[in-house]
Amino acid sequence: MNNSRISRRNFLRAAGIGAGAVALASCAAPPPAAQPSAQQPVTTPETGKKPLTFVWSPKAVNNPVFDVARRGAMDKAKELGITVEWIGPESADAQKQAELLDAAIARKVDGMGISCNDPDALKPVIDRAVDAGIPVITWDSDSPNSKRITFYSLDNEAAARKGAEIMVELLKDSPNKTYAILTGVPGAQNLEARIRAFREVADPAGLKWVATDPCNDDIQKGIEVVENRLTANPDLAGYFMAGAWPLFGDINAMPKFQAAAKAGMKVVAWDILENELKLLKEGLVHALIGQKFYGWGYDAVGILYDIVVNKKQYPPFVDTGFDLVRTPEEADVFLKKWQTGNWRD
Amino acid sequence: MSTNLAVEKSKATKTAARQPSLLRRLLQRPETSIILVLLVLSAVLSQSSSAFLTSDNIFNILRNNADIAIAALGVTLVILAGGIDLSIGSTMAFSGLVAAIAVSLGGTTAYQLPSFGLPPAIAFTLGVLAGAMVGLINGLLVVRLRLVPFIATLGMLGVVRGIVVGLTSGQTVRNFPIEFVALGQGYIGPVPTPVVFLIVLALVVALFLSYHVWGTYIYAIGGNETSALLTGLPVDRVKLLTYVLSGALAGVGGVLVVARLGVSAPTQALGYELFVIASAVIGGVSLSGGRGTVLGAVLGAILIGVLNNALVLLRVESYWQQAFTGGIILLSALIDRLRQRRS
Repeated sequence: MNNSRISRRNFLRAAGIGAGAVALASCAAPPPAAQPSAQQPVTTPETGKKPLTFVWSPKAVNNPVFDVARRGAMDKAKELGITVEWIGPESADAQKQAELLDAAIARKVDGMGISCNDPDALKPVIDRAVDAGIPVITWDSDSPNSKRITFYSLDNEAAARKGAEIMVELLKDSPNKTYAILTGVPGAQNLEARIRAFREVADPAGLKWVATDPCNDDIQKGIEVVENRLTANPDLAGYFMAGAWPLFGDINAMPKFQAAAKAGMKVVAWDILENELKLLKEGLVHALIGQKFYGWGYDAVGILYDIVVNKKQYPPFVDTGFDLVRTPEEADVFLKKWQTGNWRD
Repeated sequence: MSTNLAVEKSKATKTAARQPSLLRRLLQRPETSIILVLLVLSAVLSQSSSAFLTSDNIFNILRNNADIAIAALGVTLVILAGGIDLSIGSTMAFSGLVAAIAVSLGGTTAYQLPSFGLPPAIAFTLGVLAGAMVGLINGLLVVRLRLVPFIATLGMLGVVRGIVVGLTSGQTVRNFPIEFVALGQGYIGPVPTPVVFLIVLALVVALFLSYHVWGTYIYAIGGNETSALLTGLPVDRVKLLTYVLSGALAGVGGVLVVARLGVSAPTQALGYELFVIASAVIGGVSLSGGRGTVLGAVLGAILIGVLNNALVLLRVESYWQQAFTGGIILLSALIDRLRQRRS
């Protein structure tokens, strides 16, 4: 009893020291980005009036691709002399996103660009904004039945078909044609479109689909699922990743994947994140389909500005196109963008 | 070992007046039902895939779920004392992030964060202390400010996750020295390092519960808090300790995952509190407190890992996977209910 008391006191003391250390570490850090990071409002030189304010809302602020979009939006805002506020939920949560946007409607902002967490959940708030005279466009992820003016995105199906064509070509001399698909949350519209389009091209061309495994958009789970899949099918010839989840981590966390890729398994994956580009250079990934992260901010803010200021008309869908990365040289181009933070060309 | 691990101290003191039959004694064990489910599942899996019963695959499952099992050890202590800890997933991410910042060699995408390049042992310790600190706050909210544990730890779930996302601006922290990564990816002999951590910690917690007087207090308080108070047990201090240990153990799990994945992501372990608590409960730890064992909680985590493995090996269609997992968990709980009635 006595002993335990002493040890507990020591433990609490140690915990106290730890608490202090962590508190110190937190003080050194900048304020959280979850708060709306508004640019300094600047008045437009021509009119001297209060500048336009757009709200740009990603699905979640905890995702590096949206950070690139944010840079794009802020760069364009600076060019146009307007204010863009970056407002999104901490994690991908449709209801939270709708609440945040409702608050922006109440403040009578001049326009909104939204990457929708859910097409139906965001529809009412988009419609409320448009009814209140606030033009809304969507980017990356749509709400097709809402009153939004246009949707700015890549054509998921076209890009996935291209990915499948590459996979077919990569496996054309391979006697083994089996492949697996990794997805995120089952039912997510963009992922379902990618999977469907990929299979529509790959399966008739003679590739043999084995399974589609979900990882709930979770890096840890993605790694577990890929390793489990390669345990069940060690001789897989191809892997199509409809999102890059497991490739976020250290490749050594996936010894089976690494071994299979070194033994000739071909990998086509979505997105062009820094880690993926490095893996492509190492020859462990063979084709990457890049979305225009920077354009989600830069180009789309330009589109909304055109609509609000220049009264320009846009069709309901504006195709961003996509980047295809297959060679180390192409990978270097995008690695440089990640490393310098300059995505402007 | 298993007898030590499995000593269950129910609130009713055991009277060994009659020696019950072996079968009856087995049925009385809370781990029985989960072992049954595991055996049946393993039999089905080894029939349908030759890959299942290989040491490679088994170690893979254990390595992938060691973090959940280690965190389950901690939440078992809290639940045994009649509490609950919903902040575990966030705590795992926070501890992982603290260790990652401490150990990172820099050049990560979370460019606004400093990286200290500290030795892995120190980074590991800081990560665990960060978890213990979250636990300490949880405990103080419960025993000093008298918040209901569900609400106190639900609040902390949000606060701590928010701090993680805020500090990183949603970016990842990476670029760790090889000695740190080895904590998650390495082996000691043939056994993956995280599994060694799990075995050692499970033994320590089991011994603590069985042989340390505070271990018995935990069962007593969870069994009947009022009578524990009347008996003069240090109820508040014991409860505080369970939260601190839960935070620290979640911290160990969180740091090990970061080491294994080679990256600390703000979404790490998002929603994992459910798996961790489910591990304990499937393993026979009673949510009303006072009943359950460490062995049960570890087996519960292993069952969840085997289930994830099964989904892939059996090629369960992705749209049906949640229903499959939920069904097995229910089945396990139903067998446990049946067992309790029989014994």
